[in-house]
Amino acid sequence: MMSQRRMSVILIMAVLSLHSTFAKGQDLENLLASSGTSKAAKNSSMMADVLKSLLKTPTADQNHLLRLLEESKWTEALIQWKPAFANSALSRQDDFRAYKALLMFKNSMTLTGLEELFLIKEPKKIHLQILNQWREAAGPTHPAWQVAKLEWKNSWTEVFGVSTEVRVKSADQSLPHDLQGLQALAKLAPVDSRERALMDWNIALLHGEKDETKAAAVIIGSLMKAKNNPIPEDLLNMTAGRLLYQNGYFEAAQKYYDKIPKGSDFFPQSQEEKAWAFLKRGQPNDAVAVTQTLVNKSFAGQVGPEAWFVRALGQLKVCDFGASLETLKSFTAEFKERAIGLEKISKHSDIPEVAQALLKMTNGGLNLAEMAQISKSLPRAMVRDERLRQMIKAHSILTEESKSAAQASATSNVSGLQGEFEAIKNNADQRAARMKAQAINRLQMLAAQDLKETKTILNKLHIVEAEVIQRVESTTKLSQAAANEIRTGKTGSQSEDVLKFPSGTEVWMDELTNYKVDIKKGCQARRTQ
Amino acid sequence: MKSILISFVILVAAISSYADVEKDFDGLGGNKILLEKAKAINPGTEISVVQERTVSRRNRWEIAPEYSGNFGGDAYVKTISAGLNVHYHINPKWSLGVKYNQSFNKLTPEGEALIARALDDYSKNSNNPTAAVPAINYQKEEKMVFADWYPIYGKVNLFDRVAQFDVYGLAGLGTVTLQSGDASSYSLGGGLGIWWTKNFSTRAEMRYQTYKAPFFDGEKSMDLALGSIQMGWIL
Repeated sequence: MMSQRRMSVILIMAVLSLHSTFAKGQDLENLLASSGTSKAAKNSSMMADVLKSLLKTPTADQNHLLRLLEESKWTEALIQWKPAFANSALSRQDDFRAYKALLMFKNSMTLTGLEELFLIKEPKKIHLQILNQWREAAGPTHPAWQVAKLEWKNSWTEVFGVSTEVRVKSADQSLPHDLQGLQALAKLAPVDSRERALMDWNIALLHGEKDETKAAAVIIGSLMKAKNNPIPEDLLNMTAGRLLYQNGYFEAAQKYYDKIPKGSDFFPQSQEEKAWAFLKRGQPNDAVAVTQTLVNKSFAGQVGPEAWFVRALGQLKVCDFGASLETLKSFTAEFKERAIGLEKISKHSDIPEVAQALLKMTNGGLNLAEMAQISKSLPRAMVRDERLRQMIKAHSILTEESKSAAQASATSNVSGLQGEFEAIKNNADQRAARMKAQAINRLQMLAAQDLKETKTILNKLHIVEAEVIQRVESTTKLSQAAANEIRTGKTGSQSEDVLKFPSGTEVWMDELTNYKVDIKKGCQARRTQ
Repeated sequence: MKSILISFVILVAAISSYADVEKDFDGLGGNKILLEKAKAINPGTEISVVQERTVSRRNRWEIAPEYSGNFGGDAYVKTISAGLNVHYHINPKWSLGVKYNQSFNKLTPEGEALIARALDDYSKNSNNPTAAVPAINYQKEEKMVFADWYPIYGKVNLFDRVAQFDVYGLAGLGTVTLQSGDASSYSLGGGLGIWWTKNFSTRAEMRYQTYKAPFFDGEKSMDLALGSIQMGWIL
């Protein structure tokens, strides 16, 4: 009986002990080797493993750092870096420099991280796992690549690939400017990649500049079909139209201009060029019809002065002298205040509307209509200017970097480390301020260009006015008999079933681009006396 | 003092610069006498708007459920109908169609009063009732083929949305199935078709319909006005 009871107690003790050993074993396993399977956990484990493999006999501080890495506590890990490697020769080794730079990158100090990494002279000698971690963190589309000040060497191409190289070089304007150089770089980029498309686009532009329009057109045509194409479709259509126009294929060019929708930022420009194409084709009444859309009040501030010039010229050609003078008057109404505003912007940096527009661009973009709502005196080119966009993006990244450094500095209580973060913050602040100043300068330059264009057109319109005066003085009547001068408009919908309305003072948005101008009397001057 | 002087010079330079810009614009197209002279030489410029129809109505089918009610006709019965129209658009000016309507009838208050009086009279004097019983021959169904002609078009801004419309006339013939049997019918009318999207339309229609209906005391010509609403789907 006694022995049975003892046996039971022993069995219970054994089961309890087994259970307890199992539980303890699980805790230990959890503590020593995390069994998490998520990507982030694997990543943390990998980060810690890499560092562990570099450290032969970790000190207590280094072990603490490893624990923080395993727990993905990047900010704490960065702060712990200094105590872990203070006065250690290890911190000067390339592997450790690359590792610390990676930690900075992961702490949203992306520019400092990349710039520190690129100070390493022989990237190929960096531990493979560290490079893998870098590749994962800083993919080719990461915005920091376009802002960081990096001196790209071929050895970095082997680490980060051609895509990143193209991105960095296109941002710092160091892409080759010759056809051979660009073609060689394009061949390195993967087929059907964004980078390949970008290189092809640059090659097409270069061909266009050299009047090799056929070669440019072939590339533009293939870009229109490319799947991974970063160039907006409207810009491709616009460029195709321009190439055809340049070669005298005005009708074909107009078909490409017609593909650009009313809501596009390229719409006013495309219509203006379409009007020129009509003028070149000897259809001035159709040029006038196209500009009827552009002089609409709803496009105020979005359309360039040239639209008024082509309109006045078209009206002059069909002997509609009265309408031509009305166009000149409306040019003054539209552009006088605008020119004064542009002059102000080009000379002063503290215009509230400029700050408002830049803020809007920072917070997600600005289109022509939104720009005109802020002010009608802002330079039209600002919404499409790639360099201005780059500057604004850079300012945004630098501001983010400054915030992250300030946060790390506030969290850190390690002597010397706060100073390091403060230095990063100050550097980011200074660069952000410089970038802001550069953005304003760029905008001022664009305003000056816009103003110059307005003044040039103004001078041309004065010449048109002189021509109108001369023609009016020598004409008293237009010939009814000059049948070949009677013009029937060919604009508006070309569909089989159309609706036709008279054009009045009231403007309907659905009518834009559907105007048609007919001229009933021949433009052959007659004097009655 | 020196800085004040420099600021003043900059200010004066800026003002004179803006004045230069203003001066460049002044006078452009501002000669009124010239403008009047120029306007007198008029080349007969005519600016019009030529725009596409929202819906291409060439060789298209439109299926339009309908809800209608009649005015006039039998004074003792109120008829409403629900049915379906199928239009075939030959071109934007002409379309042909077929219509089927199922009718639902109820007595008007006048009809109800007459019948109540007749029933009351019958209950009081079942051997020789004298109160008149209303003569009713209500409609059960309508089938019609018709042609629409769209001579007038326009557009309207409805809820900040531009909708194109056509005003049309219609003529149709068919049969109405009455309580007593089938009768030939003829219709003439007109309507407004609004083309909201490439596929969705609304029609508001008024038409005159006539047919001959047999009653106890002989055949009577029934003249009705029908108002209907159709919601169409264009294929």
